[in-house]
Amino acid sequence: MEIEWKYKNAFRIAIKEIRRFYPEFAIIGRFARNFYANPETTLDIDFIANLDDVERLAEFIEHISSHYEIFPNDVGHWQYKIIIKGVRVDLVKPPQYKFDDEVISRRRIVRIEGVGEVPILSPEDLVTLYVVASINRGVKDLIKAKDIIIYSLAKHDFNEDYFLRKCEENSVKALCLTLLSN
Amino acid sequence: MKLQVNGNYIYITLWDKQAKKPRRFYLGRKENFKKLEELFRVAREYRITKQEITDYLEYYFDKRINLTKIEYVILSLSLGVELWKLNGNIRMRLE
Repeated sequence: MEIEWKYKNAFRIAIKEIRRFYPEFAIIGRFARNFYANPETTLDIDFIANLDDVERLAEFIEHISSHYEIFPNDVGHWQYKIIIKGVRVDLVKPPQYKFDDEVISRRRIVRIEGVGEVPILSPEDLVTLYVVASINRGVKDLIKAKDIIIYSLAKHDFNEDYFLRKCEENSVKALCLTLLSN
Repeated sequence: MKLQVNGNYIYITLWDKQAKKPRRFYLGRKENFKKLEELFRVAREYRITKQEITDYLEYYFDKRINLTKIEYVILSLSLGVELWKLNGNIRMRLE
């Protein structure tokens, strides 16, 4: 199907370009949520990576801007928007969220035909990230967090102990306990 | 479950499943009371019906990979962008 190929092609290019500079990256946001819960339409693909290294980020921006549109096109931001073949790709590192080695090691790798191997944040880490985001962005993110918990528990695929530990590390344990309370 | 205000700060006391005892959590400054109250209300009350979960497991779930069927995840993106374009958004905006 032509439309599917178009999106898979953009997705494949985004992964190739981001992996080249940020091998520790993972898919987050609604696109990642859709792997764990009842799928909802989404307008973009969100990636998380460690954007703190200014030199690496500057090289990435220089490389990407020679092929695709990127905004903003300078270092010092936590969110970058890139247009690849008509598909919007966001590359972020939310300042309040701890994207550490343990989170990276627990990524789920999915093999998608026409795209390749795709690392997705684990359900526990994705929920933690949504809860952290909800403090600034509001209840929409919290609803997505609870969706993932409910569907993952129904699949017997959610480690509560690990989840609560990461919530503690990110200073959102009270909200996480409330999400698990019923 | 009630948010508690003490001076300029907000707290909540909850049962900590890991510590197996009640614990008082600091939540922030009292200017954020309404926002936090709404977050805790939604965290507690938001639900999904059993039928929705059954439908997901029956139609969208791929047991082999323990995830949503890949074709539906890709469809969620292509459908989302195509519908957005049909609604008059001719060019993808960076803003």
